[in-house]
Amino acid sequence: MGPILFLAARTLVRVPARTALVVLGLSVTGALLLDMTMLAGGLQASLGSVLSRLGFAVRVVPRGTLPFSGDAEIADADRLAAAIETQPGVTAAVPVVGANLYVRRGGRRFPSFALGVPSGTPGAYTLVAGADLPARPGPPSGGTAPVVPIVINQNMARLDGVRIGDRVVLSAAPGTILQTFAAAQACRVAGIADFYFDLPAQRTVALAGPVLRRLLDRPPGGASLILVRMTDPSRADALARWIAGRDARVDAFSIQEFLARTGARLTYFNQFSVILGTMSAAVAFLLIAAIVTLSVGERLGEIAMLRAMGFPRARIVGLVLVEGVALAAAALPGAFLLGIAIARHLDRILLSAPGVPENLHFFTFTAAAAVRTVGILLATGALGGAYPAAVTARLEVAPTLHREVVS
Amino acid sequence: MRIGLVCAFLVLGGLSRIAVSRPAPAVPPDVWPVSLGERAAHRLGVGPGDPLDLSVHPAGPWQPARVAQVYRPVRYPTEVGREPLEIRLHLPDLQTLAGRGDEADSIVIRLRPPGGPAPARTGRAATAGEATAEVVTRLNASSLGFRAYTSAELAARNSGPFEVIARFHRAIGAVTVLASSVFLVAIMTLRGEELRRQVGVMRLIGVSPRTVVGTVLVIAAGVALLGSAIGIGLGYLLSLAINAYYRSLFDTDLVFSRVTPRLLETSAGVSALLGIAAGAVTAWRVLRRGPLEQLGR
Repeated sequence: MGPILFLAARTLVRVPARTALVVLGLSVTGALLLDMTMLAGGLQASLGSVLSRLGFAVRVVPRGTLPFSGDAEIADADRLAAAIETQPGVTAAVPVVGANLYVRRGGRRFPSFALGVPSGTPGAYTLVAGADLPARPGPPSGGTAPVVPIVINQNMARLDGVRIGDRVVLSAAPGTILQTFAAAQACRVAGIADFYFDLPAQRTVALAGPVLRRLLDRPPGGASLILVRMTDPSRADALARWIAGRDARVDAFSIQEFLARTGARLTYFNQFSVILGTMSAAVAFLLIAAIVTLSVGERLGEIAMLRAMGFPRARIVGLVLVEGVALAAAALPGAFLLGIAIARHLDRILLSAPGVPENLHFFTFTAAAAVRTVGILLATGALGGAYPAAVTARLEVAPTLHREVVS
Repeated sequence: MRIGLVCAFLVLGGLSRIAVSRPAPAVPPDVWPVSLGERAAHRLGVGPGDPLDLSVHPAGPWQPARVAQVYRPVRYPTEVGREPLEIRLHLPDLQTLAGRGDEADSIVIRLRPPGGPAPARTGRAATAGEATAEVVTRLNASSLGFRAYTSAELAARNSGPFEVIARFHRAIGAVTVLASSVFLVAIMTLRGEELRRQVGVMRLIGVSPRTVVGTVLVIAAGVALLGSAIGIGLGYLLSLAINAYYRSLFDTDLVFSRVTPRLLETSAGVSALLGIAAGAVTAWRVLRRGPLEQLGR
């Protein structure tokens, strides 16, 4: 293999301008290929990474829905959560209520997403400043606390100037006229947190679930979602099956099942990446095949001479194949650098679409994407070298040398 | 057949069509007429006249209904890929089933054509657009807990994702143009090396460098235009295949890929420009050597 590698390297550096041009072209097509492998399943990988970080192994939602995708609720979710907590390996089952509310501060009123959580830290957000919701239970559902603590997101702090200790009023009513007929709750901002799936300008507040249900005029005990934390996440699928079998009103998803369900909505990006990835590989193939074929055409006499000196046919074929692979390999660093830079730009474009949470990414650099790109590019190099290799395999030594001498 | 309804309240144009079939004598008053989308009817294996039970919860309670008609829904681009199963009920029926009183998610308003005397302020009658904007402004000033939009505003709000996708496609297009430019320059460089001997002979027999440059440029532009013509043909075939595949996949009449005259002009123009640029580089590389050197002497 040593002499083949040496000869291949010498051949490529013999015409540096041409080799540089081909490597540049392959870098661009390789970059596009890398981007498409990053895009294929990138959003799912990013979502999976965030979900895994949260630490909840199972999500229970009203049947046929996804978390917070509508107004549907699990009635008596508290009872279901209590039953789930009795299962082995379950450390917590947290019922969560999600709804839209209006936050009034001074004379301003802005719409906000409200997360109703049980008392204490449920892990649905990460506190970045101030204090969390209190650990002791809130007031009974019928009772009214004078001022309840809430945690707000950073958007509300940044865009609306709300600070820790500020007083705000929460209400389901959007205007002053309707507020007369709806419940309102005075609140004090206890802390500022990072909520994982916020939209770029979305305001979010977290408060005790019973208080939120009272504001929404909903009966106690229901929830939009139940988050389940487990000591052994590998048992999540079994627990999800148990929950779905126990209660026909709900769907229970492990993280993998949840990603599969959301993946069905990302057909466009998967198909797009397959089509454009295939085109990139095809262009890389054409480029390598054209260059190596022309290079071999210029060196037929030299190759015939090597054969005449006793170089076996298989080694000549190997030499040409290695040339194709070497061109692809030489393009890999450029492909990765350019690909990552382009992916960042494309990611920024797609993230500017409405309704995309801040923490997600469409282009995710994973080890699998990198290995796939390297594999496809090297295989394309070998394929590109296959035709000229076949030409050298069929080469007749004596006539070629004769032609070379005559010319 | 039992169906759990998870959907929200929709005020759909199709309701008027159900209303036509509603007074059918075969449907008892306690059995609601419903209209099923093609996909839902196919998935459930039912057709007009078949009974159904409806509920908003998987555990019931169940409301008997009968399929009045099966319709082919108009699919909006935003819905492609979601494969929703559509069922349409009379609004009061769905409100009763969901137990949400007289709530509705949206109300569509049709305005009478503006008429009457011109207001003194402007001295002319309001146009339809102005009249709509005025109604929307009046509604939004009422603070009654809703937000009104004109159709144009709603279209602009909903077109956000498509504008982003268009920008994404343009960025990808720029990368592919870059890749093809390098490809073209590489091919032309090789072609130039092949032309080396010919150019050497041409110059020895007295052909001027200007003619040589012109020849190389014509060859380069020709290769680029020929490649672009083949590319357009392949693109057209690919476009046909994409439309056929995705229309079948999503069961819709939407057009996913379109080859427009402007696209053809851009493609041919960019190809010709790139070809000429690649030809210029090649000509420069070829002519910087002397004729004897080009002949290998």
